[in-house]
Amino acid sequence: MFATLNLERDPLKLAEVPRELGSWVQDAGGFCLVLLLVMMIWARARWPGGLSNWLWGAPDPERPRSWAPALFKLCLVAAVVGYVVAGLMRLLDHILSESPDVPTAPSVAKGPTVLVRGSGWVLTFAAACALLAVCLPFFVSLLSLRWRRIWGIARLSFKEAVRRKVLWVFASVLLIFLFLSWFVPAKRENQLQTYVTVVFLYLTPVLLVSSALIAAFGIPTDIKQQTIHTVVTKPVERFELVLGRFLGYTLLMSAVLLVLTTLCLGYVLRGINPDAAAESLKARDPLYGELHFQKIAGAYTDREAIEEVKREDRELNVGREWDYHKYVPGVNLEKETGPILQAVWHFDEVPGVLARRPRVRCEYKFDIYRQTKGKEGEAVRCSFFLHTRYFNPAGNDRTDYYNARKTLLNLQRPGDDPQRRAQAKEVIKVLPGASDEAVSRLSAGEGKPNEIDGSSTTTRCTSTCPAGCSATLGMVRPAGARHRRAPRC
Amino acid sequence: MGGQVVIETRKLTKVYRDFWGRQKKVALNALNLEIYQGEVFGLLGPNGSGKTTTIKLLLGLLFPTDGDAFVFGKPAADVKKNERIGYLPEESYLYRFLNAEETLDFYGRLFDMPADQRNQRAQQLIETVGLKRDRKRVLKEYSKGMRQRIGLAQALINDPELVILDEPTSGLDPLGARWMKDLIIELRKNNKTVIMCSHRLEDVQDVCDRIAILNEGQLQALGKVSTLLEDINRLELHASGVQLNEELRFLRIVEESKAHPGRRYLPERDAVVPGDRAAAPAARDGDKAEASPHIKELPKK
Repeated sequence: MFATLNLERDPLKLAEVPRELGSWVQDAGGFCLVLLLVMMIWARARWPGGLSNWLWGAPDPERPRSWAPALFKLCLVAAVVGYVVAGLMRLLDHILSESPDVPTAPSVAKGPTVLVRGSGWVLTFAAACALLAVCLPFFVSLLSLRWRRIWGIARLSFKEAVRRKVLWVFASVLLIFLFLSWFVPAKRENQLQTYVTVVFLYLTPVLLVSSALIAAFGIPTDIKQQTIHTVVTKPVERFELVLGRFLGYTLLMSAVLLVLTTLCLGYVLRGINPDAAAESLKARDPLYGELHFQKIAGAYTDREAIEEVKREDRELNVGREWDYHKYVPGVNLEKETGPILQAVWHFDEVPGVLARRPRVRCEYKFDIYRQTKGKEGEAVRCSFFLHTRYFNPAGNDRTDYYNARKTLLNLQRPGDDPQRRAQAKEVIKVLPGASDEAVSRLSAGEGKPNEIDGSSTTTRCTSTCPAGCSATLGMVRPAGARHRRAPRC
Repeated sequence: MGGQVVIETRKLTKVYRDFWGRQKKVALNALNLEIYQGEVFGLLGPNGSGKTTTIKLLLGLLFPTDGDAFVFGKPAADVKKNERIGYLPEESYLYRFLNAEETLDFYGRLFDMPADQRNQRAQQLIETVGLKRDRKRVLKEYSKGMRQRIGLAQALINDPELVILDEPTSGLDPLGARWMKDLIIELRKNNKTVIMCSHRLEDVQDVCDRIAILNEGQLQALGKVSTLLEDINRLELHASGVQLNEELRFLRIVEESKAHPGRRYLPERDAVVPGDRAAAPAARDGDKAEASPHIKELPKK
């Protein structure tokens, strides 16, 4: 059923859930119907009374008839009928669409016809029925569960793992942490991230492989050693046995996860440089935004030259990528006259609490691919422009913004006090609404876009944009950034 | 027996097949049994005769190839019937990393027993089976006899109405075997129904009210122990295609049926049975296939 799970896709949005759910039900229901048909053929050949008797047992005249077999048969019949009806509707639609009597307007894009939409609904209903028929024994079993039994089996699994010293395996792999610093050199700026990544990469396979192995060998070992005979001869449903084992291993792995996470946290907190801790131990709230592309044929300030670009029209093909990881080609320095592609993020849902803060810290991370060798040792340069909602691309804001940015970029670290005052005047001129602190920092050269070495991935935006947004300009020269994160404001 | 029928089998058959569905072994062939409440019933037969298969079919551990089995009036595959059953397997297949108390607590939980009732019952049973001093030791440190005792305790944790014991004296020393038999008799006194299977005659002889003798999946004899064990010198030959000539005149045909092709010959009363069994070509000795009026007519020496 989970084979239809699509892993490579954009993050799911709430509005897409019903459609995606319907699609999943159709896919999973199709598999379920095939399974039911195969089981019906098998049961008819091997079991007196067919599939229903195999699942629910032969009807007992002395006992009241259970609702489950009747519901199972109803779902089965509804599923088969539904699929047949949906197929007929599609066939009818196909016949009608090919009929010469029906006028068509090829220039007008047509949506799905009533028949196609209806067949979709019928198909979803039929698939849901098939899904319910397959899951019904499971649901019925849920009604007769006794949690004391399940808990007993879960405790047994836990004790088994502890007393058979399975946990020592986990403990032994902790030895790797004694020597981790030999293999994981980390710079101060990204030390925390590196350590956390290493710990995560360590925990994931250890826990996944261990839990898979323990769970896979639990019940088979019971069968092999025949201890299961003393369990299934008690009033224990098969499902309770599996669920109990599953619960026990879940608890075990949760306990292991808790211990390992605590140890790893201690390791990270103890091993990290205090400067790196001050830099990195801050909560971050990712905002992804909506992404689209613009092409600027002429100068940046020429608003007439800006046109929207569709994804498929972009010149750079970097292979299969997730939709929200789109790429733009950089400027070819040897052909400076060529068009510039810009990636534009819109953040329509920025938390309102940010408006009350004097400053908002923004970070962004991205990948850069170099398609040509270029100049060795030369960093790749890219620019970010942050606009607030007051930005008006149709007015002069773009020109003002560009000029302000240019002015701010030209600010130098002042050699003496008069130069500092002169720079302060320039800042106030281009940023009339800027705070005193911002003016002070910018005139001191601290707000200048940083020139960071090639391995760094972030920059601090401390100057103020012309439109009054507290977030601002940044210029980074990253070379090895891997993680993608859109800027936030 | 006039008691309530606890177990009933109708033509219960189990055939083991290979991967391709071809018949490999008929473990049990059309077994018809009725076991009544309050009796101790023995399944007797050599290894591979179908005793354990019968028990597994009754417990729902195996599905029958043909026929039906009912326990307390419910199909053998019904899990709910297990609430009234206690089962001791041939080898005491218990979790060796648990101690005696934990073992009984675990099996008590499987019967959905409340904690206080579970603890009380566990302590009582530990005392009954004589493991009070060793109740904190894990089972892997137990001897085979001790494991058999704790196995019996787990079978009785729910105070069952029907106790099924598969080779209960296996691995026990003579004293232990005697203790086990006494316990079975005690269960009978408490109106429990006990089914035990064994390949040792003396085990069933001591405690069973009725026995069924199985051989190669066939029920050979069924009845009261006292009745069946009277014919200790009976010789029965199975053969087919035998012409009774002068040398074999001491034999008489007892039975020939469609269900059991092959004639069965018994010595005529007062005839001298030759010591050489090869006198009857292709003959083999065996037990009575099923209860029939002929049993009463069997010659006795």
